[in-house]
Amino acid sequence: MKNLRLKAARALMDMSQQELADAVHVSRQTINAIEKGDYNPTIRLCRAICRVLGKGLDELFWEDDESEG
Amino acid sequence: MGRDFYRMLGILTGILGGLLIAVILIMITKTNGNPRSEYDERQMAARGQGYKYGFFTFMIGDAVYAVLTSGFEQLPLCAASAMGLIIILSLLVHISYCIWHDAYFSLNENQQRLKVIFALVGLVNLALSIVSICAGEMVVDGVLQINSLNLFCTAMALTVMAELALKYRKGGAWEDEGEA
Repeated sequence: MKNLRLKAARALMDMSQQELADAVHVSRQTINAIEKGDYNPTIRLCRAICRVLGKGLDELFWEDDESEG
Repeated sequence: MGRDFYRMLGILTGILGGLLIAVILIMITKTNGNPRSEYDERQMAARGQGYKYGFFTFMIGDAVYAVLTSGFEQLPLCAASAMGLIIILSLLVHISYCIWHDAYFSLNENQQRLKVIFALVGLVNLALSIVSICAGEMVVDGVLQINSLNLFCTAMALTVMAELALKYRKGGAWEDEGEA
């Protein structure tokens, strides 16, 4: 399941995958995998991403039927 | 102080020298001076999976070798070569899995330097293989000798380099694939 909200939040901050990856100290491919839904990050990484993007966990990572496609 | 002592001393010196070179090479491939490879959580998981496949490859290779040695009087390669081949195959499985799952290069890796080192390792082993073949030491009485490990290392280095080239053929490891 793609995480479009993460992608949108990142775009809103005008950050590339590489910039976000550097900020949370992971590889760009890991950010790509999270956005594509290929990798389910740990709560620790979720929190780090939320902190950088200024969002809450619910906003980026909580799945609900309406917003996840 | 027999000949065996000097032989063992030579082998030990070789191993220590090899370890020293390995440590130096590991250090110069890092971008932040930390000799430890830093992987993120996804990479760690993928590397663990790759390690598992490599381990199973080793066990299967070992079992096949045991069956073959009990079934044949003389295999076309000596015991050291066979063990080396199994180790190299297991390593290759692990490395290949990591490459295709973006878990080979650590976060603090200088990829270009590592590729150059792989090329050098391949070339040195190729040169040693050629010397062994020319000296007639590679195959004795139809049996591959321990020198064949150089040939196997060359094959491994070439395979890894080919895989890296294929994996990152679109213009580099850091191309924003799927970011459109």
